[in-house]
Amino acid sequence: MVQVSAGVLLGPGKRIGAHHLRGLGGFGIRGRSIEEWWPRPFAEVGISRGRFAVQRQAQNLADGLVWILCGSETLTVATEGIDTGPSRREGHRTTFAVHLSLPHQDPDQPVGKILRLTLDGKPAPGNPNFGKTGAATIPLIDRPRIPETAKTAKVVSTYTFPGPNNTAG
Amino acid sequence: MGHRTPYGPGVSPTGELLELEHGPRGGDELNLIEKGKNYGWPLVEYADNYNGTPIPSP
Repeated sequence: MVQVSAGVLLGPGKRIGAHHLRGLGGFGIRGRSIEEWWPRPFAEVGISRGRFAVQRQAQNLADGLVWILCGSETLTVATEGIDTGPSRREGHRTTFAVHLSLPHQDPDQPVGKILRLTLDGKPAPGNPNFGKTGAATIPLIDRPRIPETAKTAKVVSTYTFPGPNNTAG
Repeated sequence: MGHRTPYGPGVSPTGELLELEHGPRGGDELNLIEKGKNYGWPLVEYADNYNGTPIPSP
């Protein structure tokens, strides 16, 4: 799930510069192009970021669950019951931000959703749609000027999940 | 669903998930996150787009 969320947010074929990255303190990549670190398709860049963030905080998780907040400009990883040490901001850690926009009301896509996951990337028990999977392939659009134009925007590419689309669950 | 730009999540001492959201013009939010709820974006907001285009209110 962590892999899927980040990959869709970044979008295949989209270029992202360092000026689009925020809140990277502690991860050691501030000021550098994301391609310099993971010269692979951006979907896989997202995979690496998600795994890294989760692994760093795994020891602090009270119940082994992770929250992923997905918006049009951010992907944020949070934890439940985090043990806030002196160098951590309480309860959250922003992993990175990108400037893309995709339909927020589409239940098959992670954008605009708050996901609750287990550390192995599966929907957490108790989620409203626990166990449900979404469409294997979803459409992507360019960033609209205003939300109204997103409703009728042309599909410019598609993204196929590398595994089950757990964003629906 | 329906979150625009979520920041600053945190869990309260009583276990509720709270979240800050960077909204459109005049529409930043502090939300109590509840399971399965729709928080509106981009269909409804208590704000307008940055270019002045109105967004329907809830």
